[in-house]
Amino acid sequence: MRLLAGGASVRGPAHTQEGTPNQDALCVSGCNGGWSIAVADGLGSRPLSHLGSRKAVQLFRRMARLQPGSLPVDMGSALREQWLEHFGVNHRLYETTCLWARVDARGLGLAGQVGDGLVLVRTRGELQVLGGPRDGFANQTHTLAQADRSTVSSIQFELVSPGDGVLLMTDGISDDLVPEQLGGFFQAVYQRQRRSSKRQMRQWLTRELNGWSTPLHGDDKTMAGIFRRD
Amino acid sequence: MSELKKFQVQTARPLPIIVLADTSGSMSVDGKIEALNKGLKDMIQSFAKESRLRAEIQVSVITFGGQQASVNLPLTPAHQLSGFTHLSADGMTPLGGALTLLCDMVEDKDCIPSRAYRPVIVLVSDGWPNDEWEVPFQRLVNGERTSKATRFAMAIGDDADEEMLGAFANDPEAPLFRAENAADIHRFFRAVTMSVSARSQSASPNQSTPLQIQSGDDQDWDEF
Repeated sequence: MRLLAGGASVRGPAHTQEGTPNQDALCVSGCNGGWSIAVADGLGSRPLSHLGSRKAVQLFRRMARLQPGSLPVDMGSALREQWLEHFGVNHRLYETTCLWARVDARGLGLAGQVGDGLVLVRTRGELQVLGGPRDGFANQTHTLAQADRSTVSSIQFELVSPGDGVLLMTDGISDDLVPEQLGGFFQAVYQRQRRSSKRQMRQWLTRELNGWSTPLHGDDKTMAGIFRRD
Repeated sequence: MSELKKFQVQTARPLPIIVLADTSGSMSVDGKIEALNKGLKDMIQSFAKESRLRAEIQVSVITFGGQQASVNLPLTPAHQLSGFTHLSADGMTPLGGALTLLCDMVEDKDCIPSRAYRPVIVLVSDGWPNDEWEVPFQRLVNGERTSKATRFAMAIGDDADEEMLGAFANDPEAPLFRAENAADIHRFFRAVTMSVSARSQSASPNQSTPLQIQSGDDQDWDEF
């Protein structure tokens, strides 16, 4: 079995215009024949959220590396504790969402999410959307600091067939996707990943995200995926 | 050539603003309804001319007067609006009916999708509601979606139900505004216009921007 992984993150037009940093963060990390990926979206209302999102994905990568076996299903709480420990009493300045996934060399995976964004999982050719539809409005979200059983969604899965995989994206992407076309979107990303190196995939995704076509879009955009190739 | 464009929504994220306008009989005196019409007209025209936006401002007007509340203007992109049906004032103050129409609108995900930014609701009244308004008011305040909207309120004149209007307003930086004359009504709508425009141009259109009522020379205006 061969696994492929890739991802990209771009600063949104609104932040480019204001000269402010990309508040999203991304990690794509290989370890022991498997892959770990995470995306995070720092809250626009918090001045240091770009650092909060970066720390969230760094902590996930480190925890995934230190845990060679299966990740705990309650990964969200473990991540929350370490994130809060790092930022301490001023953590509200750094608030962020976080979405994560790991697939080991056998194709066994775990994905989780706290806050806005989208996790898509395809197993045996069937696409699943983690979590339910949003009740509120855009950019009203839970954060990693609030991660508990009521706010974290997670799923264990197995990549069985070629084309199975997991795709994470921040809401700068997911809010602008046609809901009925998620399957086609997943497949299009997989097909490109299938014929690309990690670097080529990043370049292609960066072009696609910078060329986003939804009118008046302004958000940062970040996406990462792991796929079974054969 | 983009491979992913076909999966992307081709409409901008909406930023809805819904005005609940009192059109009861008492609004017909002292130029109140005329001031309300002008305030609404100027606001809609300003939104229609906005550029450099990060969201599509959509406007709706719900009136409560006569025998029942009604949707005067369904939620419509401001840039598609050339005007609205001018309001006339008569009859009772059926606020409960207006709140029910409002809640139905906000809870309808086909009307206001989840990708929309947090709606702004503006309540303008010069009197006391005289239908069953408490239950729909609680529905608004406690509803899963409706409670997330930003709510501004303006009391016109001395006879308005300020307790209800004060409870309606939920933005700590924009408590109930009291209008004592037609100029105040204009100023209130100008402030709402500037607040919504600032949000729509911001990198974070969901964040409230303060309602800054400009001071003005009121000496030429008759008080209500």
